[in-house]
This record gives sequence, structure tokens and C-alpha cells, in this order.
Amino acid sequence: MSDEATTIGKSTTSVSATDPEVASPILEIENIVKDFGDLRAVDVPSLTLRDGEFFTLVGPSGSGKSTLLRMISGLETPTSGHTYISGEEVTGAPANKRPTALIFQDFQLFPHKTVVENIAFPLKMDGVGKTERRSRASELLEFVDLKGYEEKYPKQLSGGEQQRISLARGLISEPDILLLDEPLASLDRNLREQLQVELRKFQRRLGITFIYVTHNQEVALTMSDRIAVMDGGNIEQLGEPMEVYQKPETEFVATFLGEVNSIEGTVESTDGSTAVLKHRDVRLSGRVGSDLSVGDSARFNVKSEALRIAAGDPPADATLTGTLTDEIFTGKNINYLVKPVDIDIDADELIVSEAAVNRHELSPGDTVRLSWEPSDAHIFPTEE
Amino acid sequence: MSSINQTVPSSVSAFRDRIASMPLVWKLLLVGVPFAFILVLFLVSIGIILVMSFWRSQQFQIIVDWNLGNYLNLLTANSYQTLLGRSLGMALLVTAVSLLVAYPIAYYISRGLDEQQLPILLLFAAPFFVGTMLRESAHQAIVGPSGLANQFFEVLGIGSSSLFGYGLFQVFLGEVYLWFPFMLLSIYLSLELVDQTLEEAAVDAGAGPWTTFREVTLPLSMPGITIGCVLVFVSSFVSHVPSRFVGGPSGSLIGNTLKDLFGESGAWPLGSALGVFIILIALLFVGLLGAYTMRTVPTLIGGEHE
Repeated sequence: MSDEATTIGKSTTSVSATDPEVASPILEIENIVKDFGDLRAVDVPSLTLRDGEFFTLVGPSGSGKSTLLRMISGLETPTSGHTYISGEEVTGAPANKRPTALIFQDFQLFPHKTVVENIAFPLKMDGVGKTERRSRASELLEFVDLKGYEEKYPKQLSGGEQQRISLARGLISEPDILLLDEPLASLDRNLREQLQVELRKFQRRLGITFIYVTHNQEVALTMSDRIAVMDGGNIEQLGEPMEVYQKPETEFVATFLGEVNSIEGTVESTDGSTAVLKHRDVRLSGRVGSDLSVGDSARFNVKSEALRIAAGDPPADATLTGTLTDEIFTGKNINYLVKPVDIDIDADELIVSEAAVNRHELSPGDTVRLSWEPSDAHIFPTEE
Repeated sequence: MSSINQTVPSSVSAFRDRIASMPLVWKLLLVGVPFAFILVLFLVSIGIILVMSFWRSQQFQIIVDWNLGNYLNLLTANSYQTLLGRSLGMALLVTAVSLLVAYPIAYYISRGLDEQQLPILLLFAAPFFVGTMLRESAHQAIVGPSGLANQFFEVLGIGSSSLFGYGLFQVFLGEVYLWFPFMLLSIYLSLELVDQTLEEAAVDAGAGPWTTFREVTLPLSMPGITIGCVLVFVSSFVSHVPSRFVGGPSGSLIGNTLKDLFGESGAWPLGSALGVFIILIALLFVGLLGAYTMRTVPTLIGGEHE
């Protein structure tokens, strides 16, 4: 896409990193609750977004992330609570009166309007004259690299092209916040990865706050300044992607992000920050995810890339023994499937993911020892 | 997660391939024979009418004597022109009123109701289960010139309104009653096909409810409006049942004349010429409406992106 079209969006007035304005919240949410009948779909006590950040709501389907996004857009009304955009209360304002724009999952371009009419639609609603509408739409069309597509109809375009048109339609009214509801989910993988990068570049260049909803953790981790992991209508954890990934605060977060191996056991000892879990005669040490006391039933979670096939002599409480059952080449990595000895797990095998360049000369049936850094494993009490 | 979303499951596409590659015999049986049947009957009947319209009749005898007399007769005789004009006006009015009444109802059923949609639609469609004759008898018995409503007014001492007497207003009521369900069902179906998140997209882009309707819902439901209008217009234009039941001497329409010419008067050639006229007017209406629809919803034509 073209890099020269810098006059679009807020880039001309965008604030630099040292500007105190950066810290001013663009969005504040207070005690937002949404009930659908008996079901509490969303329950968010507080959420504050900084101007210009790329914020992602990630969670499984039914976690309330889309409902929360729709409430921010005004398409859904909260059961109770308050929403402020740029300090102004918008709680009761309908979608057409808010400085937000929503990019829908299936793009939702108007099939009976041309590309240029689609993009200019929000300006038409604002009462902007036809000539100016057209020229601004064309400008934006150039920005998304689809110059010359003015008179085409949406169904003549590919999925990726439609996605860019819907992005252009969202950006043309220069919203304070751009809301994106899984806008890449219906595209194939290669295109998705390519557009992902483009979206991030657009966001950087425009300086507009993006709120991105996805069930795809990869998207969440790679694109966002901050992410919020949602489950059951609640925000489980909010923070920078790496922090959330490496220091999960709840077991849900620990198991939702990444490929996770879980082993149940009883807490043998803890000093408050690390603990040792006992499973039969095997001791597993890791960081304490949330309050634990000796004797509690708990679960040990370690991501596949935090486990490695041990060389040398790792500490005994950070070691497992098992039998290699299979080796799966995934390109960048090799996943070793290991059936642990003296350990019962829900899955058949533990998964150990290591860089393919460091391939171990192993064959199925070999006995291997696995080790990990205790700080990379997370122990949470099992829910009663 | 991956590209599954946009690809057709293989079993479905295999089934499609099998249908596409079935033997020619089956294709002919499935599509060719019924199509030929309809085409032949249609073309032959149109052809007969067209040919016969250039003949003449004398005392119930059809005489093969090529002439333009029937057309000249139709174009010069005031009675036919009055009837054609009246029927055309009636059909346009019935279509317009049906459209104006049906659209809000269809919109409400489509957007305002959930489980009740089907029963309500069935209620509106129920009259189709009895024939037009029976329905017009009911119309006559209830709000007709000597129907229950009028008797009730008389008992109350209000006296029967002249609107309720035999005449065009009664015919209008009957026509709307007979053809209204076509309009309602066509519009309902096309409203159901409008993706409601498109309306959300319009609202999110700044459109109020009315603008959303004008910019998105209405144009996208044009196909249903068009089909409903064509069905109601053509049906009411050639209709003869209501005017026979409640029209009286001043409420007769071109459909009655047509029926007479082919029936009691036995003037088939003149009736054929009238038929040709009616077909041309109906085609003109369909053509104009179709052109307008294509302009409003241009994406009805043109191929899909691959």
C-alpha cells in the first residue's frame, strides 16, 4: 500500500510520544454490564484506553468480546454502566451519534452501491457535498491501494479488496476509535497474515485508536500494544502481550494463550512466589499464579515451547521423564510428543516444541528427560 | 481458523458435480420437458390469439378473412377505450395501494416478530386456499352492497353509504382483497433476504433509522417490490371476478369485456385483438418497472468475482 498518503486520518495532528496528551484516555468504561435474559454476557468494572493505542480483546467465542465492542460502537445498549469517549459521556448515544466506526467481520459493504459510494457513505450522512465526498473517497481509495476501483461493485471484488474498502469506509469520517470485529476471520491464512501487517501499519500511520476483537491469539499477540483476555463476560487479564503471555494471572489465561501442557497435583511447598506441586512421586516446580497453600489441589501449566529436552543435569523438581512417541515437523519448529512416566494427564502426551534447527537425534521409543525454568511454569489452584 | 470458511465442503461439491454431470436424459426430463410444455402452450396460445386477431367473426362463426378491423374497432370505439383506461387506472391504483399497505406490514412481520412470523404469514396467505369465486362471495356478503356491514349501518339509521353500493369502489376493494397477499409475501421474502447487519453498518456510519431505510433496506428490497407489483398489476388488470360480483353496471372492467367476447358474444377475433392490447400494456408495465429496478439495484445483473 502507498506510504505517501499521509494527509488522511489524524496523522497530521498526531501527538508525539513525549506529548502529555498521549496519556489522556480516549475511552473509559465504568461498570458496564450486559444481560441477555438470565445470561450475563459482559461484566466489565473498568476499562481505560489511551489515545492512539492498538488494543485487542481476545477470547473464545461467547466470551463477550464482540458484545463489548458493539456496546462501544453504540449498536448494543448496556444493561447498566457508563461509557465515555474523549471524556464525554456517550452511554445513551446511538451508533450514528458516536465518533466510532465499526469494521464488520463480513465487511458489510452495501451491495447496491459502487465502491466510491460505499466509502463516501459516512460523509453523505454528515451532509458533505457530492464533489468533496468523491474526492475524499478517491483519496482514501489510493491510500488503501485500490485506485481505479471507484465504479466497481463490491461483489466484483475479492475478499481482501472488500476488506480494504470497508477499512476505507471506516476511516473516512476520521473516527476517534476504529472498532474491528474479527475483520480478517473470513479470509484465508496467507491473505490474513498479509493484511494483519497492513492493518498494523495503517494504525501506526494514522494514530487512531484501534480496538480489535479476535479469537485468534496469534493476531492478538503480534499486533497489539495491549490485550485484554476475556472469558465468560469478564476481562481475565489486561496488559502488554508479552506480559500477559508470560505472567498469566488466571488459569484461563495460562491455558488459553499458546499450546499448554497441564498436570494436576497437590501443593507440597510454597514460598508465596514459587511452589512445588507433587504428582504421585514426581515434583514439579513453578511460579504461583494465584493464592496457594500447602495441601491444595492445583494444576501445573507449562507452554510447549517452555519445555525442552534436557541435556546435562537439571534440578530434580524441574524435570520429567517420558518416552518419545512421535515427532512432528511444523516448519519453524519440531513438536516432540512425549508420554510421561508415572504421570496421568488428560491429554495422551506432553508437547515439547523446539526450534527445528536444533533437531535432536531421537527416534520413537527413546526415553527423554524434559526440563523447564520454574518461572515459565504456572501453578493455579484447581477450581472446586 | 484457516481457509475453511470460504470453501465448500467436499461432499457438497462432489454432490454438485454429480448433479452437473448427470446424463442428458435426466436433464431433459427435469428441465427440458416441463420447459417445453410451458413454452409450447404459451407460444401456441399467444400465436393463436395473434393470428385470430386479424380474422373476423359473424354470428358466432369465425371467418378467416385477414383484416385490421378489430384493431380499428378497438382504437375508435369509445366504449373499449373507456374500459381499457378504467382498468389500467384500477390496476395501477390497486397495485399502489397494495404496495403502500403491504410494505409496512411485511416490514413489521420481518423485523418485529420472531416465532409468530409463520402463523401470521399463513393467516395472510390463507385466502389462497379457497378460490377467487368463494372469496368474492365472502366479500359481497360482508361489505358488499347488500352485505352485513351495510345492513348494520341501516339498522343504526346511518343509511348505507353510496361508496358501499355497486360500483368501482367495491370493485377496488375486491381487487385489493384478492391480490394483496401476492404483494405482502413478495415484499416479506425480499426483506428477509436483506442482511440486517448492512442496516447496522449504515447506522454505524451515521445514518438515522429513516435514512438507513431509504439508503439500504428499501433499495435492497426492490426485487420483492417489483415482483409484487408485477403480480398484482397483471392479475388485477385482467381480473373480472370482483366487477361481476360487486361492480354493477358502472363497475365493469376490460376483463369482463374480454370474457364476454370469448363467451356470450362469441366474437373471438375481436377478443383476440383486445388480448393483444392487454398483453402489450402488461409487457410495457413489466418492462418499465424492471428497468427501474435494475437501475436501483444494478448488482442484480453482472457476474461474481472469482
